[in-house]
Amino acid sequence: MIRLSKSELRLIGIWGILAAITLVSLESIHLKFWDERLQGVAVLILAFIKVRLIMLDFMEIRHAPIALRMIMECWVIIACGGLILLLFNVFG
Amino acid sequence: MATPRRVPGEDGIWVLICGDMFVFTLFFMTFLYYRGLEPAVFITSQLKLNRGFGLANTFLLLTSSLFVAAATQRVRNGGANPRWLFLAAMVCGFGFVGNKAVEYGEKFHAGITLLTNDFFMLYFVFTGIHLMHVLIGLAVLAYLQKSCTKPNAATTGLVWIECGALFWHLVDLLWVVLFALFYLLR
Repeated sequence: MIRLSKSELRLIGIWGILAAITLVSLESIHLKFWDERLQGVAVLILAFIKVRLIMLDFMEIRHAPIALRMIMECWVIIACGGLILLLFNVFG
Repeated sequence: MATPRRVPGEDGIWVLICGDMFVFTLFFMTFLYYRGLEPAVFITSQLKLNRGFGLANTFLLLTSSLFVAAATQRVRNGGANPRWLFLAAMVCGFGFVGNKAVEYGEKFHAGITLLTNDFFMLYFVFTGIHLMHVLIGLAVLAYLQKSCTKPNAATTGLVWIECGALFWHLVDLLWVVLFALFYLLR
C-alpha cells in the first residue's frame, strides 16, 4: 500500500482545489451576467487564485523570505488588476 | 514549530522566473488590448477553439506539477521513489505536447493558420512560445529523474532539483492564465 505523508496529502488537497476552480471557471461560460465582461472578470480572478495557489504551495513561496513572497504576491495583484482594466478597455 | 523561511532553489532561478513572468504579462496584456480593438473577431475565433483540448492540457499540467512538488519533497526528506514521480510528471508533459500537436493539426487541417486573423496570430505565437517552455521543461524533468537517484541528491544536489521543479511550476502557472484568456473569456 502507498503511504502518503501529511505534506503530500496537503499537496493533493491543493490539486483538488485547483481542479475544482478549473471546473468552476469552465462552467462560468454558461452563466448569465448582466454585463458580459463580468464573466471575464470572474475567469481572470479564478485564474489568478490558481496562480497564487501554485506559487504558495507548489513553488513553496509560502515559506520563502517575506521579500520574495511580496514580489510574487504583488505580481499576482498587478497582473490580474491590469488585465481586468484592459478587459474594460480602460487604456483604449 | 514554524517552518524556517528559505528561498526555494537558487537566487538565479528567481531572476529567470520573474523575467519570464514579466514577458508573459506583456503577452497577456497584448492579447486583451487587441481583443478590445476587435471584440467580434476574437469572440467568433475563440469559438473555433476546442475547450476540451484546453481543459485536458490544464489537468495534465496541474497533475504534473503535483507530481513534481511531491517528488521534490521526497528528495528533500529522503522519501521513497521520487524518480517515479518525476517520470509520471514527464508522462503528463508528453501528454500536453501530444494534445497540442493534435490541436494545432486540427486547426491547420481546417485552414486556420497564423495569418487567419489577429486572434489566431496571437494564439499560435503565445501558445507556441509556451510549448517551447514545456519542451525545455521536459528536458529539465529528464535531468531531475536521473539526478534524484544520486547519493548527493538530498544535500548538494537538492538546489538543482528545486530549480528544475520551479521551472516546471512556472510552465504550469503560465498555462493557467493562457487557458483563461484563450479558451474561457467570453
